[in-house]
Amino acid sequence: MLQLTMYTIPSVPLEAECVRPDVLCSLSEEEVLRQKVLYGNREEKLGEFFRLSGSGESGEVHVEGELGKVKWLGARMRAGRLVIHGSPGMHLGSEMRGGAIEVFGNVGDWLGAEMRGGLIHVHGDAGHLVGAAYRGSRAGMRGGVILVEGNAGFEIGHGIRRGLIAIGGDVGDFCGVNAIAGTIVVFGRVGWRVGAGLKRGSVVLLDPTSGFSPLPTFRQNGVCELVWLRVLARQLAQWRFAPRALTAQNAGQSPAGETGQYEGSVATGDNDTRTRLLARFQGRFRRYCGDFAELPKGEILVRAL
Amino acid sequence: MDTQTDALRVIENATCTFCGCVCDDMVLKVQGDRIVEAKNACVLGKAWFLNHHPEERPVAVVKGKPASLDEAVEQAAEILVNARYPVVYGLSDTTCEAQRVAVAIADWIGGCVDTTTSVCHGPSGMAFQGVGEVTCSLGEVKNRADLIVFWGCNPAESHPRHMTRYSTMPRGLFVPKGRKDRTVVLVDVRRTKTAPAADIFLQIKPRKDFEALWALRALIKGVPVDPKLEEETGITLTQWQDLAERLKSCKFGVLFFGMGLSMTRGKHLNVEAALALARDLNQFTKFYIKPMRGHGNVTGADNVVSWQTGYPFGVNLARGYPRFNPGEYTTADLLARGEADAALIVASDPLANFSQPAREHLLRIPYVALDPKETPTTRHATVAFTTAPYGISVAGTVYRMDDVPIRLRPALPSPYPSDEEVLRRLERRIRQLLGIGSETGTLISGQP
Repeated sequence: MLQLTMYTIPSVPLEAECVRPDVLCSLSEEEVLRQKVLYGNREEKLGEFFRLSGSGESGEVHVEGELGKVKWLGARMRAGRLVIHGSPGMHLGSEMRGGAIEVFGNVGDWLGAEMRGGLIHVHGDAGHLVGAAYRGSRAGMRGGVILVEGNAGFEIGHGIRRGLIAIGGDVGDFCGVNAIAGTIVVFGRVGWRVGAGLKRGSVVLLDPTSGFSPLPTFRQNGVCELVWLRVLARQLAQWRFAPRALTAQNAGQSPAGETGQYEGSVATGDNDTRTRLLARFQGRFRRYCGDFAELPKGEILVRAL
Repeated sequence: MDTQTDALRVIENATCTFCGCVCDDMVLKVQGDRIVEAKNACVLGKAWFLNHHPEERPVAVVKGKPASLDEAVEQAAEILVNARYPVVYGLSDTTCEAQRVAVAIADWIGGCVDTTTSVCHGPSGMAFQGVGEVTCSLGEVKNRADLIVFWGCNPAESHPRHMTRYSTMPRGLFVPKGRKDRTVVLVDVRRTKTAPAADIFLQIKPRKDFEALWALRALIKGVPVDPKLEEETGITLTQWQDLAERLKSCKFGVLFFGMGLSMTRGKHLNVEAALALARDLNQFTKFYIKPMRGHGNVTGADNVVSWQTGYPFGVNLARGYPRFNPGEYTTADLLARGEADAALIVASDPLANFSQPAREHLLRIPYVALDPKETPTTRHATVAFTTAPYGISVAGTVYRMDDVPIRLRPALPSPYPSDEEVLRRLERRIRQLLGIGSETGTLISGQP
């Protein structure tokens, strides 16, 4: 495993899209340290910010440090595993195509924006626009999986076209706005206007007291039990997804969209959490179809009390 | 018009740059170094023209001490050249000529360029990218529009001549009876001074614009909507259905929206809803939509930054090519996150209206400010330039809110240089310090 430890904390944004396992693991130590990063408006070398240890033979890169101003980590990666101990800035795993990213910390906005494949697992909170389409772009995430155990901000899955986003805590307004297809699962509370402009795709709200209020352009069309939800639950449990709404005692008390301090890893995938997770997908769901202002082939599934 | 005394001069067809209407039919009377009368000006225009008096400030101040223009340019250029993440901000209250030099500076120093659009109609700019804008000029509105909808704006107070000159009152080619040929609808959360001028006033619940616009989109398509819309918006379904019918059956409709849409909960998605409604209505009739822009040349700032970088605001040039991402490269945000390490602020006062974290960060970093008046921003600037006010003392081009360029006719001389002049000197010095751009070099600003 290749370990990158930050020793110079950047005072302005550092754009380090070279930090991706499929690039770094095949390079010599010197080459890794010579990789170019953009520090503000000037190019610098990766080695001026990070110390290096270990080797990349296993295809795994670990990054550690004060990463709040470090953007584009793991962007466009295609393979390997990137583990981050810290709270990286915007665009983590943006346009990613394969491999896995695991974050022990909170992440900034645009997590996995327009990603095509692979898995991102965040143990803390995420910012706004998880898996979203960049401004002016037609479609957001087009494949892959984003798991956020804590809260997330506004416009989660904006324009999502394929793939899965699971948020273990609360989300802000416009969750799944303009979604073309794909699946978004929220364990906590939701903000306003869930699924506005939904064309196809599913938004699943697992908390019966999520504060969900359908837009006037959605219509309730029955109560259902869906097998695919149980399959999804088992898959989430297999990924050892530990939603905060099911693990923390004070789940649901923090306001939607606000990200707090990351307080260490939760008990990922312990048996109790797994049982609660599977149970959360059991039972009946109210189904709302819409959005009738667009192509009304989408659905919002809300767990019935 | 006759001149009454030797000292009295009359400037006809002068242009007011107070609001986005940019009325170009002012008749200004000038006596000595003051404008004593502004005929045709509205209450805001009068305040703009009549309150200009000679400043008694040094042309430049460096770290609180008066300095010559050359010294200040030298200091300012060094601050900007040494910065790693500078931002160029403001630009809405200056001429297009100055704006394009400011964009050139941002390009040379690899900074972000952002305008005050990002704190007013920025969400509209984002929505234009998402949906598109069905647009027309105010001249077309005047000559053709038989249905005017004002949504989340109050032109009677913010753009006093909008209704009389462009939208509701004037007689036009296809609306010969003027006001009698038009239906005026106002949708707002409170009864403003515009309400008496409207035929239909819909007072909706605060922050429910998106739901209302979204339901209208469904209604015009003939899709029944949930009757709880009434409870949600405070307006009956019948009233919404009536409005939907009017929107569909007009000959030429136009929706003007203000910051009641762009700066309330939902922001750019509220505006996207309005733009999508206007787009959908074109299946039935001619329907247009325009934002009610505020500052005199904020539309010009959007136009200039767009034609130079491809995007209207919130643009980063650090990589040598433009990248657009509101929220990441917009000034209020990147200051609040403590990212910028220097700033060039042109004709704007962020220290008076940004959030506390943004103001605190701005006070921590060196910055350069250009303004005709003393403001909190110029008082705390590392380098502050006093410039001549545009429209009053500086000629140039400004854009009306419907993207129509209009020439300025200045009335008063000024002892101070224009924003453009200061910025050109600054740009030249920056190029020298960077060792680029010989005298024959071609610049983004189009000047050697």
